[in-house]
This record gives sequence, structure tokens and C-alpha cells, in this order.
Amino acid sequence: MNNRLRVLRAERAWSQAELGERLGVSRQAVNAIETGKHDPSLPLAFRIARLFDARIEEIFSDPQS
Amino acid sequence: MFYIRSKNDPYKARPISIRSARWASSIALIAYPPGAFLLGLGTDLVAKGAGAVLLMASLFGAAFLTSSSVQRIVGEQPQFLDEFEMQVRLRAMQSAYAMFTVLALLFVLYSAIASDTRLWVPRDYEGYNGVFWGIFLYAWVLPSAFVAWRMDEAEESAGE
Repeated sequence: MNNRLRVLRAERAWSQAELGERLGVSRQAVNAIETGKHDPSLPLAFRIARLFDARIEEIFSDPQS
Repeated sequence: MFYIRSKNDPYKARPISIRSARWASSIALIAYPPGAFLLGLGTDLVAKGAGAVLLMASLFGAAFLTSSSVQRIVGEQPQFLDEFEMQVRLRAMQSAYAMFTVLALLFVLYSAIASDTRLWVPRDYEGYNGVFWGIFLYAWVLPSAFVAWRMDEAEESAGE
């Protein structure tokens, strides 16, 4: 799954650790989501969307669509 | 699986580099079998001494991992892990289970062959003691070894 998490994080000048803390996950989890190695669960995707004040589909996109 | 949690912060573990986790887990797994054999079956002091050194190295490797960030993933209670860590744990456990099963089957096969030949098989307390602690150590360290060897070194310092 493609995502804009790295861009959104960079816009706010947050480190991965800082974003992880805000989301309640580890820095490694943030890194894995950003690099596409881990697709977040629906609850985590909603938390991410809420944090960035965006809709889920504005952050995550299906590469096949 | 064993993991010693920090009293100060249950969500934080002693950070260790991926490279050192790989070294520690490899030493723990590789040094134990020859160490136990040499210590148990060695006839002279040099062989027994070498066995003791290998056993100590194996135990130090396992002990080094015990309260580390790598061991935390496989040993911590699930409620203290996030979903990515749980996914890493699940993969490591699956691989460790498969590897453990293969090793157990190989040991049974070896025992069947060895009992018909003059090869070593555990027959007394000392022999079974060595096998018992070997199984214990492998069950303890194998999952952490899979975590350490699968983790990408580049990820370790990314995004700081």
C-alpha cells in the first residue's frame, strides 16, 4: 500500500520517534509503515488520519487502483 | 521465552544494535553444542577447558539478549507491544517453531542411528542434563535470532 506518511511527517518536522509517540507505536512501526513493509490496521490508520486531520484515502492509496 | 522488563519504563528495553544481537544470538546457538560435548565427553583438561569456555560464551550471548530490545519483541507480554512488533514476533515464532521441529526430528533420527552404533547418546543424568539445557537455550534464543537476522540494519537508524 502506498502512503504519504513520510511527506506529512516532514511537513510537521516530526521525527519517526515523535510520530510514533503521538500514535502510540514504536519508531520501527512508523518506519515500517513509511517504507511499505507494514500495512497498518484499520484502527491505526484512523489514528493516523485523525492526527493529520485528513481522510484515510488521502494518506493511503491502493497501488492497483 | 524470557525477557526482563525494566522497572522504570515497561515500554522501553535496553537498546542493542542489530549487529550485536546477531552476534550474540549466533554465539549462543553455535557455541552450546560443541561446548556441552567437550565439557561432558572431553577426556583431558584442555578439552574440558575449551568446552567450559564455549559454554560460557553461549551463556553470555543468551544473557546479553535477555533484557534487550530484540528479546523484548519475542518475550514481552502482548499488551506492551504494538501491531508491527506483534507481526515481527509472529513471523519469528513461526520460523523458530519450524526450525525447532526440524532440529527435534534430526535429534530423534540421530538417536535412533546412534543407539545401534557406537555414537554418543544420552544415557545418564549428565548427558540428559546437557540435552535439557540445550533445548532450553534453543527455545529461548531461536526466536530472537530470527528477529535479529530479519531486521534490516538500515532501518535501525532511519528517520532519526
